[in-house]
Amino acid sequence: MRVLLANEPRAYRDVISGTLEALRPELEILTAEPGELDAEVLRLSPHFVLCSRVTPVVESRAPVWIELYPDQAPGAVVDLRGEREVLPEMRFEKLLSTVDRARLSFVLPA
Amino acid sequence: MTQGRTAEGGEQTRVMLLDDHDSFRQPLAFMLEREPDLAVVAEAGSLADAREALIGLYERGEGLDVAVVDLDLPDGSGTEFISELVRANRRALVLVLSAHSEQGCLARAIEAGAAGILHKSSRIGDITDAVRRLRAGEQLVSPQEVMEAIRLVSRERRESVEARRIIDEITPREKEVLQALADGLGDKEISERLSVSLGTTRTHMANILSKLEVQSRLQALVFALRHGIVRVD
Repeated sequence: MRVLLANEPRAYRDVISGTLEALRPELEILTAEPGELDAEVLRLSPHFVLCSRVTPVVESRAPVWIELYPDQAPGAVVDLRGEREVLPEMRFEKLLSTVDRARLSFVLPA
Repeated sequence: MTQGRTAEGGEQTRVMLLDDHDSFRQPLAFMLEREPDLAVVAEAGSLADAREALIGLYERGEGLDVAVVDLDLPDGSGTEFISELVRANRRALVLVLSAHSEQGCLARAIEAGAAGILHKSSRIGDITDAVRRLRAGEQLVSPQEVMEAIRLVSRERRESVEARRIIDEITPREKEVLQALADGLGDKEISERLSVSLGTTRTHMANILSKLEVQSRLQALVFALRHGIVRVD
């Protein structure tokens, strides 16, 4: 599963991508600057996108996305193939379990 | 006091993380723990949790070398924790890791005793590097920056005391006039709201400008908003 992380600030992007690479080595983890989000989604067709502000391109092209801490506010929006959750806080276990559920959804037949 | 050791026999640097963004703090802890010379001994997502974590460390006889602290916490400012930690544990050093770039906020953190400031736009390598440098005794905030921070905070405090003096001189009626101004009312509408003559409204306005030591109603409004005399819905 191809995962694109384009969230900010950079420290968040670095530690989340580094941790995902270590804990889920089977994933293809890619990072991009937030300003490059739409272009990279169009270029790479990621299955899963992590961003700080979801865009129409992300919503229409990424099967799974998480909008994490928009403008440093707590909470997140998770959209897993159209199943949307708005969370007042985002624990890392939830982020990881969303990644796992997404991966399963691409592996298992619908 | 127990202290972990690296494979080469050196002492591990004991780190505490304080940040309410769990999806940042936990992966940060994971990444730091992968470094052989670093050990994350405590994590907290709030001031209250941080205080408890610190008590737990001391009760277990465990020390703390570096605290990595965010300033924006749900139950207060990380600056409060910095002051408390520095007072309680002269050995512990504080690295502020914040998304803030507001000078006053960072200055207050330095004045409280932060030994280093990093913005969250930093790379993970910069963060681990800063922790090591602090532990090695390097000063990440220069004496000049400390002096500048103290000057800035002192100036803010003086301005705050002066503002408080001015605000105490504003009468309740004058506050009503200011609120009406903030609500977008003109003199005639203010007079109607307060059931006074136009002349009285203008007199109030002149007194307000004089007391606030400003030249215009706009400046009066800015002052009033900044110091909470009026609200804008």
